[in-house]
Formats: sequence, structure tokens, C-alpha cells
Amino acid sequence: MWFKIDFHSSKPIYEQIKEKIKLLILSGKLKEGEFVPSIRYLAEDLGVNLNTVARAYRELVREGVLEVRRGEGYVVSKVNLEKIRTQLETELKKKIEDCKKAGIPLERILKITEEIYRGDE
Amino acid sequence: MIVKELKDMKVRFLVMFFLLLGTFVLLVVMKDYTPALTEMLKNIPEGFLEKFGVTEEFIKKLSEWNFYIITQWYGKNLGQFVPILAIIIAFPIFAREIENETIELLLVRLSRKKLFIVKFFAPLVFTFVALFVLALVPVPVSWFIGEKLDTGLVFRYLLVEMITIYLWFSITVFFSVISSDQVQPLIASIATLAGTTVLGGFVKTLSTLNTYSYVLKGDLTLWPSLIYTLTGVVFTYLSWKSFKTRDF
Amino acid sequence: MILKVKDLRKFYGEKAAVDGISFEVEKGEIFAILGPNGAGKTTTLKCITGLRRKNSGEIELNGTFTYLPEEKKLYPYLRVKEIIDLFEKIGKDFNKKNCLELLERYRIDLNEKVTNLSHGMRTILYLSLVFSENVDLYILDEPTWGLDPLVRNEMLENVRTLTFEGKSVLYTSHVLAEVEKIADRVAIMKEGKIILTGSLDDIKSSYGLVVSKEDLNGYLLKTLKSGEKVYLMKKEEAPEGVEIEEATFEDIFKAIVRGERNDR
Repeated sequence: MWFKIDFHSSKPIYEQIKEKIKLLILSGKLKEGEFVPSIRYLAEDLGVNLNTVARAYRELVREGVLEVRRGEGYVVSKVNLEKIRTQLETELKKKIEDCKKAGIPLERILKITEEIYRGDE
Repeated sequence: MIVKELKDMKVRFLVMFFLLLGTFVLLVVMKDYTPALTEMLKNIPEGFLEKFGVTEEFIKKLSEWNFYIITQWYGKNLGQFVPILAIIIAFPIFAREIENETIELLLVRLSRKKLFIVKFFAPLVFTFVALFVLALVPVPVSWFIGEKLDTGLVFRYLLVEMITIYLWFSITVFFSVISSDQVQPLIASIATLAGTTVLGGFVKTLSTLNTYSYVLKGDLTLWPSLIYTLTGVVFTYLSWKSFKTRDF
Repeated sequence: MILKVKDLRKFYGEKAAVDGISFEVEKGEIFAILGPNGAGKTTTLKCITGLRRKNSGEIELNGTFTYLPEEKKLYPYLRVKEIIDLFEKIGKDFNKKNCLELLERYRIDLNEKVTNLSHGMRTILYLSLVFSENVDLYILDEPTWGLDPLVRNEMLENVRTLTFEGKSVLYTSHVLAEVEKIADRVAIMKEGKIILTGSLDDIKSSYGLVVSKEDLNGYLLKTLKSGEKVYLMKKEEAPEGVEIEEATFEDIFKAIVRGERNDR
């Protein structure tokens, strides 16, 4: 598991990690019951602090996204897709509102959405 | 760690040691020229030289080996250099590391007590070793060339010189510890040496201040010897106290 | 808690270089003290390492430590291998093999005299020595100053790796971009005082930027040509209905160090 971390973003690193993991789960790349890398391995691979990964995992456990298996590691829990989807939709809403304020026409938004969804065909 | 301290003083030590040794060699060689010197001196008006105690008798005595060595080596060349030897070895011991900021490396890894002990005593002991060699070398040399030397006097001179070295070493180390660069302790100790010598030379009551007369006469009398040793101890203690509490 | 500093004060004559600061470093943490030159960062570290005597306050250190000084001065006339020998004798649980590996990696010639090394190479040497000591807390004063970007990043990684073994790091810097990469918690220091302290992530998420015509209860970041002001403030303290922009750590640092604050 690897993704790019932006150290200078206003978004805290642990938040970035949480998001990316949730995305991986949503896209099916991480399946229920699958182990995520140990805190240390992920920290080394991503080039971030142990504490940062530890915090991300801690919060993901609290949110019910990951589960701790004593002596074994962290595992993707019974996926609560609904919750993650709601979060994403909230963010999308905000973005669309920004576009609306910026005067981007509805047709344009619909076109973009179509391109993305149809792009796989 | 001791090795490092000795390496640090290597240059000063070797230069002065060989300089002094060279002076001794020169002295021995020059002895044979005293008759020629005597001839030269005969041409100078008598009254003039007598003012400096250079009487005919003195010149004749110079041809005597023992007198020659005692007065020229212990009573002059070596004796004069003894306080300077101490000052030159001692002045950069702490001050150089403080000025270069390398002392931080040591302070973080060693206790101040251990650091002080090594830095104070390693160079001092080595200076004593050099002194032993320089003060005792006339003995085997005399034996070798078949001349007599008053060894009792030699050993008294040795002790007097040791005390003088310890005294000026301690004073200089004290200046070295309280300074922030190397020049300050050098100037301070030389000024103190000059000042005490002059003051003790001109003011009868303060004659003890003049350590030069002590080291050049070689008189191991109790009173000045004790005072100088104790003063040395006091300055060693003051150096330790200052080192223990100062900021770096 | 590996280090606790409470109400530390250090005066040089009348001037307070460190004026009552408090912070703690937890085990396995990287704690950065950030601030402009002259803020008192070096003096703080010197008091903690015992090089300077504090005037008042408490310093509690629960473990062994080593120190990388700001000036990184080594004995100029010794050769690199002799410095290593010295560290073998007096270093704190020194691992010579590790040090030699690091020096080989950065191509530092063991036979070279220290005085012939460039400032950057001397820094690499000192860092290699300190990293090869085995202690609980590594106290580093401007560890990457003078290093080229590639080496700098590698050294930051080396710092991070220390915590993978449960060790802690306290370091000072005035380079924000670096601190953002490896600090867990930061303290921003200015003129002898700590004006902000907390976990880097929390600081980033709790502060935001607000544009307003009126004076607000925050740190002034910038005054616009229109006369409006950009304030940095805690998101929870922002007025109702006002749009909050995300603040980068640079914004936060700038605004807080500038210190123009309205307190109503």
C-alpha cells in the first residue's frame, strides 16, 4: 500500500492517510477481512512518523473502519460502505456548491460527471 | 582521552623541551670557550664589570664545571624558563577548547569532574616529566665527562622548580578556565608573572611575590616553599570551582 | 515522558533569553522547537544538556541523551578516524560499525583532517557520530543546516528512523518545510517565550483563515488593498456564517510569530 502524502497541505497527514485507506476500501482494492500493513511498515513506506500512522489507525478503529486483531494487526472490518459514501457525498456537495458560486453551469457539471462515469466503458 | 590531551599539547611541549635541551647542549659546548671569553673580558675596564658581580674570581670559578652548571643552567637558563614553561603549557588547556567550542563535545559525554581532572593533571604530569629530564640531565652528562656535580643541590633545585611549575600552572589554568579565548589567559598570567616579580623585587616586604628569586636561588626554605605550594593548591581549587559552575 | 521542562528561565544579565517556557517530550516522539533566530532555542537546549545553568524552573530528564550543537565544531587537527576513536572511548554506547557505514555512504574520507572538511561534510560527520550513539533522547540543534537537499532529506529520514526504535528526538529548526515533514509536536518560540505548542496535525486542523472588514479576535495575517483583513483564528472561535479557509502551517506560523492580535 502506497500513496503520496502532502506534508505542506493544510490537511493533517493522519487525515490524508485515513482518506486514502477509505478510498481503497470503497474502490474494492482493500477487502473486508484483509490486513492493512503494520503501523511501522506503512510509516516506513510512506515516509511518515509512527505516531501519525498510529493515530490514523486509532481513529479508523474508532470509526469502525478497521479492527484490531490482538497479536496479528489491523484488519478491514465489516465494511460500512454507507458511512464512507455519505462522507464522500458531503464533500462532493461542497465542491458542487463552490462550482455553483463560481458560475459554472449545471450542464458542465453533468457533462463532467458523465465523462467520469462513462469513461470506463 | 588522556591521549587526546597529550596530542593537544604536543607542539608546545616538544618545541619547548627541545629548545631547552638544545640550550643545555649549547651550554656544555660553550664551557670550553670560557677561557676565550675571559680573554675578551680582560679588555673591558675592570670597574664596569664588577658592578655586575663579574669579578676575576667569578670568571675563574666559571671554569669550574659544578659552578658553571649550577649558575648557568639552574641559576639562569632553566630556572628562568620554568615559570614560562608552565604558563605556555597551561594557557590553552581549557581556553582553546572553549574558544573552538569543542568543549561541548566533551561536556556532554563526561562529567565535569573527570574532564577537569584529566585536563589539569595530564599536562601537569607531563610537564613534570619534562622537568625531571631537563633538571636531571646534567647528572649523567657530568658523570660521563668525568666531572663532579653537587647532586644534593641538583635535587633541591628540582623540587624548587617543581613547586614553581605547579604554582604558575595552577594560576594559568585558573585564567584559562575563566576566559573565553586563548589570548586572555596567556596575557593575564604573563602579566601576573611580570607584576609579581617586579613588585617583589622592589618592595622589600612583598619579596615573597618574586618567584624568580626563589627558583633561581634553589633555596628549598620552608616558608616560601609552603606558601607557593599552598597558593598553587588554592588556584587549583578555584579553577575547579569556576569550571564546575560556568556556562559554556 | 522522557523530558519535562517547566517554567524555564535563563537570563544573560538583564535580558531574558528564555522567559518561562514549559513543554514535554514523550517517548517515541519527534518534538520540534521552531522559531526565528534569537528566539532562545539554542539556549533552551544548552540548559537541558547542562552546558548552561538555568536561573529558574525545572528540567526533568528520564533517560540518557546525546547532543548535536548548533556550531558542530570538531577538533580541526584530528583525522576523521581519530574522532571516531575518541567517540569509541567517550561516546554514549557508541556503535562504530554503524558510524562507518554512514560515513561510507556519504563518502567521508576517514583519513581526512577535520579542518579540510567542508561545513556540510562536518555536519554529516557529526550527525553520523551522534546517530551512532545509543541513547533515549537525541537533542539536535539545527541538524540539517548547511546540507544539500538530498542529504537533508536522508538525514530527516534517519531522524525519523530513530523513533522506530522507541527513541525520542528534540530538535530545533527555523525551516518550516522540514519541520512539517517529521515533527509530531511543535513549539513555536519567539523572544524567549513559547507562543504556541501542540501536535502539528491538531494545529493544522484547528486553525483557519477568515477575511473580515471588522476587527476580529485573531492573529492578523495580512491586510488587503481593499482594507479588509485576513485573520488566523481557531475554527471554533470564528464568527457565525463566515467562510473559513484552510490555513497551511506556514500561514499559521507567520501569523502567530507576527503576533498582531486583537484581544477583546
